[in-house]
This record gives sequence, structure tokens and C-alpha cells, in this order.
Amino acid sequence: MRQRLLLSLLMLSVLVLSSAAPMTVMASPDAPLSVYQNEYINATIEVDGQGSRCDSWNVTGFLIVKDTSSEPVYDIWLPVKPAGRISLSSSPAYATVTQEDPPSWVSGTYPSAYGSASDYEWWHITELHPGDSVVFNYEVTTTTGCPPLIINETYSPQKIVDGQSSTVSVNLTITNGFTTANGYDYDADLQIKVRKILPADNTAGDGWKDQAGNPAFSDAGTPDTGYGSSSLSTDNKELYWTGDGNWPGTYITLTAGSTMNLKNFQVTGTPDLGEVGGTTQKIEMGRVYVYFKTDKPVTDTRVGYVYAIGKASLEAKKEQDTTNPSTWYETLVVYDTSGVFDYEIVNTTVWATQGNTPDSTLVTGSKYSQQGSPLATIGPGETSTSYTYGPNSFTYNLVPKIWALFRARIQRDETHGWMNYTNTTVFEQGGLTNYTVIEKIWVVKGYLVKARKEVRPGATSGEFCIGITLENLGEWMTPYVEFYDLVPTNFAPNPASTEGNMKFYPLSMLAQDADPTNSPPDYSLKTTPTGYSGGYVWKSYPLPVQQGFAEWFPDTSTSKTITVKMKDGSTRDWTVQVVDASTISINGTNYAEGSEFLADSGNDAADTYFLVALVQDTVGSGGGYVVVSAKGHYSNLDMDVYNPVFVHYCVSGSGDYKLNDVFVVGVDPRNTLDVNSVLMPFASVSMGATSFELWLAVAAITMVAAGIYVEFRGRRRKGVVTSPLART
Amino acid sequence: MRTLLMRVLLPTILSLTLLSTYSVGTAAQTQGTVESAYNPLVYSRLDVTVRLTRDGRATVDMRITIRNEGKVLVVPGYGRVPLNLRGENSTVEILRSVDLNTGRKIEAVVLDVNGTKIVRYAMWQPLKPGEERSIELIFRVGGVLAKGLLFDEFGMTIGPLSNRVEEGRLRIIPPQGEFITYSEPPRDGEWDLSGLDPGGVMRVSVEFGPLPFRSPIRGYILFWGGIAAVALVLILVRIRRR
Repeated sequence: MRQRLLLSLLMLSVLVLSSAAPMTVMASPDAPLSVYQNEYINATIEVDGQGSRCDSWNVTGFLIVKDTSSEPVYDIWLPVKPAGRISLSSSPAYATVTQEDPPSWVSGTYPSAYGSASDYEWWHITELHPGDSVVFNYEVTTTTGCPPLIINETYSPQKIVDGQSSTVSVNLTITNGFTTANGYDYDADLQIKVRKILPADNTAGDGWKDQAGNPAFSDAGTPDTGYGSSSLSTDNKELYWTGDGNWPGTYITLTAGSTMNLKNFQVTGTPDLGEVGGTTQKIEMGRVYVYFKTDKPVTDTRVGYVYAIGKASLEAKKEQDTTNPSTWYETLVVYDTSGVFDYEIVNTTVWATQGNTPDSTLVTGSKYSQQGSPLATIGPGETSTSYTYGPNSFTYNLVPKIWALFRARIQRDETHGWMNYTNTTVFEQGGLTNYTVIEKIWVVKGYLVKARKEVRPGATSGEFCIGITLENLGEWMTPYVEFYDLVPTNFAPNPASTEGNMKFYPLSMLAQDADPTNSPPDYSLKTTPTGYSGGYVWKSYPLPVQQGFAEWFPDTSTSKTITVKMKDGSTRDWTVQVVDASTISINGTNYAEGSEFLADSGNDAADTYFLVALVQDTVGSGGGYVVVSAKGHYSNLDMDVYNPVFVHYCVSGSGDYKLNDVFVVGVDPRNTLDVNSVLMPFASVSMGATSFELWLAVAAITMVAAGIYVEFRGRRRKGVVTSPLART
Repeated sequence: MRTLLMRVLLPTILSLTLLSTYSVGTAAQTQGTVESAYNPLVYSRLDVTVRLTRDGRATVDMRITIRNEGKVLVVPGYGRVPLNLRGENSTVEILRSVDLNTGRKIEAVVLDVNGTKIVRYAMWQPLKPGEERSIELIFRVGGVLAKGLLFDEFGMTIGPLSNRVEEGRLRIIPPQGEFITYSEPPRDGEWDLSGLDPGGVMRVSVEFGPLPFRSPIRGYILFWGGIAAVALVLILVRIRRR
């Protein structure tokens, strides 16, 4: 099942990648020559209520050089610092695109604020006409860590029972980890929208019982203030968390380093492990699709200072001195004839030759050149659209030919030049994104043990009283269960002789009693772990399926609605209230402490007996526990067993009693609702062998005997030994 | 004459063949079928040293280090060493059980569950994530050495285990005055348990003999089989001569 799931995930990612077209998402208005860096994050994260796991995630990037103006652009040099290999994706037929080192006039005039030209990989585009673009692509795969948008979920309960309807309360946390503290070059604010979709009804092999509305959202939850709103779709199969709560809705802004939560959205459903093999395992509880965008790149790919030129004309002026005919003046004039672009002149060179070609013999002293970054800026957005270099003089007796050369680059300017734009987002296909969080929840087949510890201040100062409930939430009887509690240092049970008045309810469920003559104390084993003042182990007989309750009542006027489970698994809601120190009332009828009653459901299969195991005397004066356990039968020992069981004891000491978890030992950790349980270690050893030496020895000796016999017979034949046979 | 010979020789040859098939042996490490469960513990070190004595008893010294690889505190509880002993009236006696980190004695008892003896030790100290704890368990078992005329047989299987073994070693020390003549897998008395998976087993077969020489097959087969073969050859030569 898991393999199938992973395979379909893989196929989904590949499908989206191959069919997605690069989007030219941009600001407006864009620069006449625009360079777009669009990055798309593909990630699949799995959460199971205890943590999140990111498999390798990747970023697909596109660099788009686009001429958005009405004029052509020529000789484009694009410097890129690549994080992943850059390759050409598409270009117009008339353009030649190559990757090569730039000429010296480019590297020599590269603006120092952008580093050095040799830091970059250069791409050359011969020309680009209005409206056309050249697209490069790259891919960066990161195998460690999670992408910068960190998503986690916690569930309550963390595990649900096969075949029973459960409601899981989920908290979804999203953290913007796109910060310099995390190693990125920028602190980026993210625009986020979240869409969660539950598995469709009646899908085979998803682990959910095939019935309508299974699973479904029962609550849209509450987002943190200032972080949008959440709502459900009409069929309760989708949850939306957006700026305005609608879908597609508006984006929520999450600043760099901040965290936003959606608390207590609820999913109700009935799992069916029979669809996925029948054993305890994780099933998919839904998928979260995250839509986000930011204007910073998530990879290290960077675009440098672009060089390009548009329409321009050049004039070389020759002038002979009127008084001295061998003195000549050469002047260069550059005209920015573009109606759109400003140029930064970086190099102007004039020279004279004897011959008719620019590379024929140079007239000595006639070469003048200057290079700067820039020397001057001309164009429709500047004060002048032309630049003059010279006049420069030289001496020549004949008539020289004057040549002029200029180098310029389009200025980096949003209105009259080039600009680069960055956009990081996700691919979208069919309304879903490639940033997917898969939620999985444990579905337990069989018994499900939950151990819960509550600590309340005692009657005197410095006294704390501990109440531990062990219950079976599952569909089968549990095995024997051993649970273990620790007493922190600085505390000790008080009074010591009774281990803090330690009582186990119902006492018949304590399978091993270290002190059977006295109650209190009721425990199976007392331990002395280092770092703690002490520890106790209670071993309980198996807990049946039918389930009562162990609840705290602060006084005799509070009534609580409590759900109990009958022996056929059906549930009932009871209204429970304490009448006095030894009586409780359930749905209006009074029951005495220690009595057993039948909860008659009218259906014999569900009729269940309950025992009022405890009504604490302190209920009337500050509050106390009420324990009503459902009765079952453990056939191996032909005894009555109860669910839940409850232990109560008090400790005294100084300082804060730091609540630690109860540990459950020996029970398969998948069948407990907390992680502090472990399978007790075992190491089987077999010893022994069989020796066949005796048999082989007998066989060998037999052989030797046979040999001796043959030899003996042979000698008799030869006449060495007389025999009656020889005579005849 | 020939038929008489055959009647004597044939069963001997047959029994020889049967015995040699038996001694081919089984693979050293095989996978059992234990369900893998979420289990944050691991045996970071499992050292087992077995000292055999001529009266057929084995003293097993197990040094077990358990580490918590999970994210929360766990309590191992009772550790168990189920013993499958092939031998009549095998007794188990615990000689030592101690927590090596503190030097304190830990509780260890021998339980009898449906005829199987189990050594149960207590590890009630909580283990923090990443923390490990070592214990040493020494117990003596009787009647596990199969005694022959000149050669003794001993077999041992470690596993299946509840947790993976990171590093481990099995050492078998022969009884006083005896030497390892054959072992499967062939080693010098020490076998590596590192990397053993939960459910995996390590099966070892050892033969001890009176002389310190290693044989590629079981010593008793070599010795007695050699005698039988020589006798057979001489018989056939004798028959041929007639």
C-alpha cells in the first residue's frame, strides 16, 4: 500500500513537471528588456501528528529574457550564477544562443557592485525582436532538510481505532523559514493560501470505510488573529484557509521567520483496515496543498548585470587642421536612435589607418580609446541622446581613413532599460499545487491503551496528588498491562508507610500486589531508578472492551456529560453528577459507591454491568475523582475484569512537581496512545546438539569386523584351516 | 560369497551416506518471521560467552547494552532470555545479574512458562533518548553438550531477538582439555553478531575433540569414516585378488 502511494506521488510530480509551461508572472509595467527568474518549488512532506518528514525536494527554475518593447534588442550578454545546470529551453528561430565567455570590453567594464565577470556563467543571445523571449531552465534538487515553508501538524488523538467513528482534532502550523538566519540570502515574506482535501468517499484501498461523508470535516478550526479565515466546502470534504476564507480567495501574508496556526480543525471518520491488509498501520488522512509566492529566489541562482544594445548609430568625423595640413582631428559621435532604451557608453575608440580597412596599417599616434563603467549615459530618458568623443588630434602627411568604435550597454532601468524580476511559487495543475503535505494517521487494530496522568495540588502546602487512569479504547481486550510512574527528586510519598495512600481501583484488577495484606499501599513493584526519588510499577489484568470513566469532579453541583462504551462497542452519553461522598447520580438515578448496576440498553448484546469503583471523599471539599468501570470477563482465569483502572497517591516535597509521562511497558507501542511505551526486550537462545559418533563408530567397527571375516574366509579356502567342505 | 559380503557391507555403506548428508549443515544466518513493530530500543552491544565443561554444562555470560533510539524517555521493563534447551532435565541457575553502569545487583529470575525456561531480568531504569544501559547476566545450564566417544557436539542459536544488534560477538570456549575440531560457520571460536536484525538468527555448530587440529568436516566423520573407508578398500582389494 505504501509503495503504491509513493509511486503515485512520484508519478504525480513527474506529470506536473513535464506538462507545466513556464509562467511569466511579472510586475507591471515591466522594463522594456525584462529578465524574469521564476522558481517553482516541488515538495512532498509527510506528517503523522508527531513530526514531519521531507523527502528530497526540488526547485524548477526558468530564466526568461523578454523584449517587451517595440524595438529589437541585439547582442545580449546574460550573466548567471547557476545553482543547477542551466540549459536552453526555447528561443526564436532567428536568434543564436550560446554559452561562452564574454569579450574583454564586457568583463573589463563589469560593474564592481555585481562582483567580477568571471564569477558568472555567460550566455549570449544574438538578437531578440519585440514580444519574443528566450527561455532557459534549471533544476536544483536538495536532498537534506525541508523547503523554507515549514509545515507541521499535531493530532489529538494521535491514533484511532479500526472500525470505530473517531473525531481527530488537528492543529496545522506553518512557519516561514525563508530567512537569512536559515542560510538563505534574503528574508522573504510569503503570500500563502492553503487548501486541504480529504480522501474521496467510497475509494477502494484507502483505509476508510466505504460510506458517504467518510471522512469529513466537522469543524473548520480557528486561525491565529490576523492570519486570514478558514471555511469548509459544502460537502465538507475540503477546508480552505485564505485571507478572506473563500476559495480561491486572497493570500495571507506571512513575514519572514513568523509562524501561523490553524487550530482545532476536526476530521471525523471511520477507518477500515480490512481495505489495506488488516494490520495496524498509518493511513492517509488527507492532503494539504499549499499555494504561495514570494519575490525572492529560493535557490542560489542569480542574474548579474545584463549587457545589450538596441538601435544606435555612429558617426566618425574627420577634420583637417586649416593651418597645419598634416594635423588631423578625429571625432566619434554616438547617437541613441532608440525611442525606448538608454545606453551606458562603456568604451569609445577612434583611430586612423592608411588603408581602406579598419585593420590596415595604423597611423601612429592616432589611436585614442577610453573605457569606463560607464563613461556617459545617453538616451530618451537622459538629457542627451548623443555622446561625443573628441576631437582627438594626430599627425599624418597623407589622407587618413578614420574609424570609430563604441561599446555600450542598455542601462538598468525600469522605464528605459532592462530589469530583472524574481518570483518563487508553486506549479499549479488542475487546481492543486506541487507543494503537498500528506497527512497520515495511525489506525490501530485491536486494543488501544491510553494512560493518562493528572497532578493536582493536595490538601496541604507542598503536597501533590497524582491520579493515573489506564483505559482501553480499542475493539479487543488488552493483554496484561504494566504501567510505571516516577517520583521526581525532592518529593516523596506521604505518608511513607502507605506510599502516599496509594490505592488501586478496582483492587481486584491489580494482578501482582507487592503487599497483599494492606491496602493502601497498592502496587506491584517499587523501583529505585537513579535521578528520581522512586518509581512504581502496577501490573493490571487485561482490560475489556467495554469502557467506563475516571473523571474529576470539583464539587457536588457540577454535572458532566460523559461517553461510555457498551460491550458491543456502541456508545452512550451519560449525565453524571456527584450527590455526596459515597453516592453519584447517572441520568437522574442514584448509585452508591461500591455497587454494581446494569446499563440496560434494551438490546441484550449491548447490556453491560458497571461498577462504581470510587467516589472520593474529598469531592464535597475541593473536589475528587469518580471512577465507574465497565465490567467484562477474562475467560483464561474465569474472572471479572474492569475498564478503566485508576491509581491515586500523594507526594510531598519542595519545589515544582514536574509532570512526567506515565510509561507503559511490554505493550506494543503501536497499541498505545502515547509514545512512552516499549516492547520489552527479549533475546532467544537455543542450546543443545545430538552426537551421531556412536553410530558411525559402530559402522566403522562393523566394517573392520567384516574385513577380518573376509580375510578369515579367504585363508580357510586356501587350505590354511581345515574344513569339512574341503574334503568333498 | 559376494552376496554375504554385500549383506554385511551394504547397511554400513548406507549408514555412512546418511550420516554424511546430515553433516552438510544449515546456513549460518537465516531470517525468522518476527513482526517488525515500532521499537525504539536497540542492542548497541550483545556479547555472549559460553564456557563448556566436560560434565555437559554451559556457563553463559551475556553482556547486554540497550540503547534508546527514540525521542522520548522509555522504560525497558523486564528483559527476557527465552532458553530453548535440547537436553534432558536441563536446569538453569543464575550466577550473577548486575547493572554494569551502577554496579548494583538487578533482579533476575528463572521462569518456567509451558515447559520453556526463561531468564527474566529487570531494567526499570528509564532511558533518556540516546541513553544506553549495560547489564551482565551469567547463568549456568546443564545437559547441553552431546557427548560422543572421542568427540563432543555443541550447537547454539542466538535469536530471534526483539531488537537489532549493532555490535556483538559470540564466543564458545571448549571444555578443559578439548579443542575445537570443527565449527559451522568455520571460525576460531568467535562469531560476529553485528548487524543481526530483529527476527534474524545466528546458528552455530561446534565439535570438540581431543587433539588441537582443525578439520574441514566433522572430526568424528573423518576419524571413524576414515577407518571404515580403509577397511572397505582392503576388503575390496582382497576380493579382487581372488
